[in-house]
Amino acid sequence: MKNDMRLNNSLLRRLTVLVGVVAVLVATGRAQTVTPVDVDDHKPEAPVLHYYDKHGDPLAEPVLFLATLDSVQKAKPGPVYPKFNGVTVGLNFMDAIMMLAGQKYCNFNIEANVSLWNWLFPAVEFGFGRADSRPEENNFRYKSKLDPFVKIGFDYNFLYKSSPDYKVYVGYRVGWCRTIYSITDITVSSDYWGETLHPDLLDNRATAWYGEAVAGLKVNLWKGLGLGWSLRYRHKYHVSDPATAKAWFLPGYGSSHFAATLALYYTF
Amino acid sequence: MDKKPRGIKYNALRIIPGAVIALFLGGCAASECLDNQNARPVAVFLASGGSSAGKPISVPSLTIYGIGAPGDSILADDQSLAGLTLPFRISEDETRYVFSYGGDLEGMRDTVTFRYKSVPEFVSEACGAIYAFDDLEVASTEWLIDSVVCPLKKITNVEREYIKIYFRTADEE
Repeated sequence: MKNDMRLNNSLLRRLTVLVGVVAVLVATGRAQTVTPVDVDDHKPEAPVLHYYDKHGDPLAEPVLFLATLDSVQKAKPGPVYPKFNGVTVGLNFMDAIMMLAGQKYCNFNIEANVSLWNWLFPAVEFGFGRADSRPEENNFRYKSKLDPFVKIGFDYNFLYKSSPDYKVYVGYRVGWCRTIYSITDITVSSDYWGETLHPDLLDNRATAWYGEAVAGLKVNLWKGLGLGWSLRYRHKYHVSDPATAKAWFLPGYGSSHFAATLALYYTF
Repeated sequence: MDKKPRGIKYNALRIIPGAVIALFLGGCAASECLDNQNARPVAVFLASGGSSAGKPISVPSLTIYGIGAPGDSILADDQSLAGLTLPFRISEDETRYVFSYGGDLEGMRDTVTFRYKSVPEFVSEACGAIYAFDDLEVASTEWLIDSVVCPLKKITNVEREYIKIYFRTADEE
C-alpha cells in the first residue's frame, strides 16, 4: 500500500514537472511572437485594488479604483491656436439662387477675414447690388444701377478650440451703401375724374448706414476650400433718400430685415 | 454595417434649404400694403355749434358732385352721410365740390374749393406709387357749411381724417 502511494506521488511529481516545462516552452514561444507596443508616457497607472477603507479597517471585498482622484486638469480658458491663423476670402452667391427663385434684386460680394487665435475674425465685405422690379399687381418699375456697398465687422467663433475646419459663429457688421434708382412706368388713375397720369421719378439718390447681426456655419470641404452659410438680421441706422421716392432696395441690405448668404471660401 | 456618424458638414448642407424657405416666407409677409394704394382725402362731418359742437353728425338728403367731373357724375345722390372720401384731381392743382341739400333746404348749396400741389410719390414696393396732395388750402361758401378745416397740410395714402367739414345745426340757430 505504501509502495503504491510512493509510486503515485513520484508519477505526480514527474507529471507536474513535465507540465511546467511544457508551459514554460509555450510561454517562451508566445513571448517571441508578441508585437511590441510604443511606450505611452501619459498612459494612466494600472488600477489598484484596495483592501482597507480610509479608516484602516479591512473591507469585506477588495475595491478596484478605476479613477485617480485629483487627476482632472483645469481647462485653459484662453485660445489654443496662434494669434495669426490664416486669411480667408469668400464669394457670396446666395442671391444668384434667390433670383432664380424670383427675387427681383441681388447682392454679390467678396468677403475677407483674418483668423485671430481661430477665435475672433475681423471681416471686410465689399460688393455690388442692383434691383429691377416690376410687380405684376402694382403700378411701377423700380430699377437701380449696379451700386456699391461695404461692410466692416467681426465674427466670434464658438469652436475656437476645435479644428479650424469648422466654424460656428456669430458676428456683427456695419454697412454703408449708395444707390441711384429710377421709378418709371408709373400709372396713377382717378376713376371719378377720369384721369390717368404716368409720371417718372428719375435719378433718385440715396445713401444709407445699416447694421447687420450674423449667425452662421462654415465647414472645410477640401484642402483650403470651404462652404458656409449665414443668416443675417439687418436694421437701418440712417437712410438719406428723397421724401417723394423712398429707396426700396439698398445694396448689401436688400429690401427686408432678414437675409441669408451662401458662400464659397478659400483659406490661405 | 455600422452607420457613419453625420457631422457638421452634413448638418450645414441640410440646414441651407430650410433657411431659403424661411426667407421666402419672410418675403411674402413683407409684400403687403398696410395703407392704401392711393391718396384718400377722407372728409368727416361735424357740428359747428350748439350742444353737439365738434361731434360727428349725419347730414340728410345730401348730394355731392365735382365741378368738371366727366359726365356730371355724382359722388353722393340724395343720401344721409356722416362723411366720405372726396377724390382730388391729379392733373390739376384745384378740385371743387358742390354740396347740394334736400328737404327743407332744397335749392341751397355750398361749394368747397381745395387747392394743393399734386406730387407723384413712390411709397413702397407693396403700396406702389401715388399722387400725394401737399400744401393743402381750402375755401368754401357758408350756407350750411360753417367752416372747413384741414389739420394736416398733406394728404397721403395713410388712412386719416384729413378734412373736417363743420355744418350748422338746427339747435345752433
